[in-house]
Amino acid sequence: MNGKLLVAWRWGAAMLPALGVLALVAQSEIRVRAGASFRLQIRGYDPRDLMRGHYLQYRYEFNWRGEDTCRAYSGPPGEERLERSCCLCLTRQGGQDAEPWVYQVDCKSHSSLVCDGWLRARDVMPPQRFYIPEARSTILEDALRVRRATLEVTVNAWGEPVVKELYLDGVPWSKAIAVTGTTP
Amino acid sequence: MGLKRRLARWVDAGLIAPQQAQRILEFESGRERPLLLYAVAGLGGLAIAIGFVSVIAANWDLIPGRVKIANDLGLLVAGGLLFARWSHRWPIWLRESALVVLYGLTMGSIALVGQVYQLGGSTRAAMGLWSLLTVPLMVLGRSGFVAGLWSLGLQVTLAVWLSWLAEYPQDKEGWALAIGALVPWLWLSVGRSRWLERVNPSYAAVFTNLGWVEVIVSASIGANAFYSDNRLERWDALWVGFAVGLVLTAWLWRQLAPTPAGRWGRWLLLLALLLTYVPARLSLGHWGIVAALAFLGLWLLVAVSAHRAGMPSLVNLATLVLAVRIVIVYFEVFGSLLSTGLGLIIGGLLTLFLVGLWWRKIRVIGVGGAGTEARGS
Repeated sequence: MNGKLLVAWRWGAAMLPALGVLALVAQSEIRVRAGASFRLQIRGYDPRDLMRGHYLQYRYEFNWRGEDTCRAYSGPPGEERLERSCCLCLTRQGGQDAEPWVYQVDCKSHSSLVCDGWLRARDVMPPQRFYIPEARSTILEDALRVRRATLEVTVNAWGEPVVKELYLDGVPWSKAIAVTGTTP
Repeated sequence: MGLKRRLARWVDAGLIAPQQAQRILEFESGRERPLLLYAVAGLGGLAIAIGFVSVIAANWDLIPGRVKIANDLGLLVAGGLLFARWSHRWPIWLRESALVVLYGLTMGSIALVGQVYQLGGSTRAAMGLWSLLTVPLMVLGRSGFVAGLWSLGLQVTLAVWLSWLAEYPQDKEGWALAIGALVPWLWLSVGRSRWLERVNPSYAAVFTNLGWVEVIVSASIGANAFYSDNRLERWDALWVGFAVGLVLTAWLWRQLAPTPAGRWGRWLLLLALLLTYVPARLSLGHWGIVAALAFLGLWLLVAVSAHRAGMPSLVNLATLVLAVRIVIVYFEVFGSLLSTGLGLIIGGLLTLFLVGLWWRKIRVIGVGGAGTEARGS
């Protein structure tokens, strides 16, 4: 490699990681800002062991309503029946701030349905992860056992969920814990 | 034993003249590479990189997420600028350490974005992005330590992607195995390329050694596939892997010098390729004796190749592996008193033959326990 090319390579190689991470941040910002926001109820994936290292393992507790129209599905509605190849249609029929009604649909037909947002079922299959600070894990674990936990999730045009905030009894988790400390 | 002491011993024994010893010492110290320095400096860089990742993983909540990302990006840009602008003037140990720090910091930065934006559990996407972004950087390394660390990172990334490919709903287990089993041949092919040997001999040496180790390990594992019935369509993709492996083996066949060691190395490569792929696709199952013989044949070839290449440590290891496998055969043939007895007698004779052969050959090629004692006796 000649001198000029080597210098150019060194500059490109050294700056590429920063540019790549910057692009990832930009993409994440767009994902967070684009799309409709919903509050979805969650519970610990394993009630005996909610925390795994520095993240909470959870599953969505969807407010199942409406008829399941996904062909792959047969049986009573329920989270365990989530089918990877299906999509979830979210509607605000319960009210603007209430939990959305959810039903499973064929991914090809969701656009023709009146959905306020839609998700790919494979992206909400349990276990899901929510990253938490190392020092707060014990307090948060205790709080999660006794409080109603919801996530603010933005649903973008590609059916991907972007988690924005964890709420305990309707209050952002960091504030909820700061107020009550270790005895929720 | 150090070179200086060994030369002194040879001078005392009248094998070489003191002037010759002095010239050998000067020559060897002139070509000595500061391997320890690279390793220690690399470890320092690795400690800093792991430290960054650990601090990020702690998810320190006193700092808002976006501020953390801004600081992290600042660090990544500053590190990149420093490296790009001045690294060519740095001593090589510092440059290698800086590469390791940037490598780790990139992984930590991607993990931080995942944490702050709660991107979920796509480990494979994060690792794939990390590996892609750092390829141009890591090829600038010059030491074996950086080469080893990079190859480890690439292999872990590939393993994560292959396990995704093998799992539901992709269900491409055959393809995952076919691609994964090719990795040793790829390392070996890259490591043995004349171009890499010329421009980056440390990388070539690490990739070659890694390739040989993995070729032998994958063939050893592959030989055990004779125990199960593998006549299933889902393993058809293994034929594609085998065909690509055959092309790479043919290329490597030409690259290996036609010395005695090189010739045995060629046959070792071919047998390893066969054992890696064929039993995993064609075995009818319950071929325990074939599995044992294939394994023993492979390690016998390893021992002979190592012997021809003058590598006594590898000959010792191969002999140990062969002896352990023969002991395992004893247990495999346990059944009636007759079969147990015959198994033990044949196995015992084989082990003694092996030890005798090892004792004779190891004295010829060199140093080590047996050789030293033999010279003394």
